[in-house]
Amino acid sequence: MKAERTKKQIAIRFLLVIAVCALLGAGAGLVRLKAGTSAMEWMAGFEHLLAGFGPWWYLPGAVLLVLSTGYYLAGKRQLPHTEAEEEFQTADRLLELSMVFSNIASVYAIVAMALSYFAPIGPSVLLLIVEVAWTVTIQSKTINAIKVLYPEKRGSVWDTKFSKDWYSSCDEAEQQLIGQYCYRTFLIMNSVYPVAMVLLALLALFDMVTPFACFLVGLLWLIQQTVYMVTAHQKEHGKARQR
Amino acid sequence: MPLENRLKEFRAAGGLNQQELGSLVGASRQTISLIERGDYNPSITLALKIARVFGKSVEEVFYLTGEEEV
Repeated sequence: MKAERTKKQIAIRFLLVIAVCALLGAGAGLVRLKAGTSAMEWMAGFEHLLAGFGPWWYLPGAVLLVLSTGYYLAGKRQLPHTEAEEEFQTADRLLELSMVFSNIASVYAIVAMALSYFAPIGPSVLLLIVEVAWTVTIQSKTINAIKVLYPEKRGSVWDTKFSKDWYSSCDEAEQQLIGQYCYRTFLIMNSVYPVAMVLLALLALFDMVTPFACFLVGLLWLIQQTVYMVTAHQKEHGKARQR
Repeated sequence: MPLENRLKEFRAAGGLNQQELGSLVGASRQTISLIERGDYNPSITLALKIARVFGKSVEEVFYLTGEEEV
C-alpha cells in the first residue's frame, strides 16, 4: 500500500497545480493578444483549420483498424495451439489488443464524422460507413475468436444487449476486474469533467464557445455523478441491493 | 498473509485441464489460471466448489503462508 501523502507534499502539489493553471491562463491570454483579432474570429479561424482536414480525419481511425485487424489475425493464428498455457495467454493478449484498437476506432469514427462536417458530404459519409462496417466486422470476428478461448462467453456484437449478455457470462473474477476498470474510468472522468468545465467557462467569458457546449458537458458530468450515486444507493439500501 | 494453493497439483492428479475444471466450477480457464498463479483469491463459494471437485476440504486446497497463531 502506498504511503499517505504528508501535509507538506499535499501543499506543494496544490501550489504546483495553481502555478500550472496560472501559466496556462497567461498563455491563453498571450495567444489571445497575439491573434490580433477578436476572440470570435480567432475561434472561427481555429474551427476552419479543424474543418480543413475534411475526410482526412478518418485516417487515424483507419490506422487503428489496421492495427486491430493485425492483432486479430495474429491472435487467430494462435488459436489451434491454445491447449498450452503460454500460447493461450499469447492468443488472449493479442485478441484483447485487437479489441482495444477497434473499440477506440469505433468512438473515433463518430468524432471524425463530426470533425469532417465541412468536407464534401459524399466522401465523408462513405468513409464513415466503411469505418463503422470495418469496426463492427472486426469486433464480431474478434469476439468469435475469444469465444474459442472462452466457450462459456455469450453475446453478439450485432445485438444491442451485447454488454449485458457478455457481463452475465463472466465469472466472479472477470466481473471483479470489470468493476476495477469501471472505477478507474470513473476516477479519471471525475478529473476530466471539472477541467473541461473550467476550460469551457473561461472560453465562454471570451465568447469563444456557445453556452450550449457548457450545458452539454455539464449535463454529461451530472449524468455520470447521478448514475453512480443512485446506483450506489440502490445497491446499499434499495430493492436491487446485493445479498 | 498470502493465500497459496495446491490447485495445479490436484488438477494434474485428477487429469483435468484448466478449461475442464473451469466448466465444473463455473469459472473461466483464465480465472483458474489466475488462481493457480496466486494472482486471484477466489470467493468462499468458488473455493468450496473447487475443493468439492477434488473431494478435499478447502483448507487442503487453499492455505495461508506465514500464518500466525490467533
